Amino acid sequence: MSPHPTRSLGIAAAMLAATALPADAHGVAGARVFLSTLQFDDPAVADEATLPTASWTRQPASGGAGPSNEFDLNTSFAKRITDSFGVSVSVGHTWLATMGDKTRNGWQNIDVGLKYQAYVNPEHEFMAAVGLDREFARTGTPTIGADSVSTTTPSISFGKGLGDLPIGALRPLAITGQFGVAVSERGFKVDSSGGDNGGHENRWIGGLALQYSIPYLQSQVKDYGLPDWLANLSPLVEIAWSSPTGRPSTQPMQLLVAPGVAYSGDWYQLTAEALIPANRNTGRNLGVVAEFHVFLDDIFPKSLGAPITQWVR
Amino acid sequence: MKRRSLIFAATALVGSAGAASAHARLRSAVPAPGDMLAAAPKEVSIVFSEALEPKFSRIEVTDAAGVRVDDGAAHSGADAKTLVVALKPLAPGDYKVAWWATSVDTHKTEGSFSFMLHG
Repeated sequence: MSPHPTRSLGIAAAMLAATALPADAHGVAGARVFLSTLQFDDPAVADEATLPTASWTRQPASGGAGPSNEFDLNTSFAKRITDSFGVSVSVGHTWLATMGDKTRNGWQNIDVGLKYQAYVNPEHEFMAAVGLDREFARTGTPTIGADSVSTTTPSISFGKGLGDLPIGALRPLAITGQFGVAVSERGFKVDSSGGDNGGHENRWIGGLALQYSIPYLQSQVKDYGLPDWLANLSPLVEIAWSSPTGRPSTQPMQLLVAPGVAYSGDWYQLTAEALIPANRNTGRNLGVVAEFHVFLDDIFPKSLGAPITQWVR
Repeated sequence: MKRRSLIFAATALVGSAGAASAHARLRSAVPAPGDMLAAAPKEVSIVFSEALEPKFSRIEVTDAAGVRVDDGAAHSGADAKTLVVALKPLAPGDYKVAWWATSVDTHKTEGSFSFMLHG
């Protein structure tokens, strides 16, 4: 199971019959470009890939085992079918080094998602999407914690730029978020002897990110003549959360805070964040995560980066 | 380990294709966003990160009352990444520059900024 409970929030999505503006690529709503976040899915349907997301976390001793270091390497690929509808797939590999024990490694379960761009308002820098994500059980390696129970997660996600604000220094701010419910295919049950059925409870999941775009500050508000490396940075802080929808449950509420910074290139985004558990249920040690994210519509605008429905025109 | 090899191969492929065109982002402008000017500019010039399709790109400059003060026809500047529009004689006041850019790979971007002309 992932150390970041809400990462599986999804790359997801589902198709609605609602009318919508065609989405421009990777999180563009008017003058706003929303960052690709690491702890939960961003609100845009896009042609993009993470190559890879790498993280390290230290877990305290559990039972007879000593403390362990967990390294994860994940990659995902998202593809637009139409302007507003896309699919994605994610895979990952985990190395688990436990003191006093041999190092184990293996594949995480495969995640597949669908996402529909339900609404885009360029004037007010707003966008929203709905998603459906499925983690397929038994596609990963059990010894590194890959789940034996599949989970389906419908969710909604949004992004709002604060460019409407009258205070110039605050206009580069933006908020993105995702909320959903992870539905387990086998609910968690405890019998009279205290034994359980190996299932999982359903969980509420959510994420919020506050981001400050220096590129937006430079191009929309005030050009301070900053050097390129600084003019392309965006500090951000992400909060990811999950809690059981009822009792009994295998895990109480988990809360993670991840402050970091993103560098936006013309066709890629580099992001690094610290992972700070906000309660004891989430962990006791800091971790780090970094991601190299590429926008395929910028690299292959007329082939791999274009919606599939445009390939046959 | 075959899958890991695929990942690294994909990374190399993407890296080698990085010279492709992308969304046109504002690199610099004259007047610059937030400028406070003592003399009236004759034109607005914006340099983008990518070459543009000038026929599908435009700049509109309006005064505080929302009245257009540009001459309406934006054209390429020193190179294909630069878009220029001439201005009518400006009186002191606040001005808004709104731009819509279509890069040569047809990606569309937009934005706006303001500058002030002192009396």
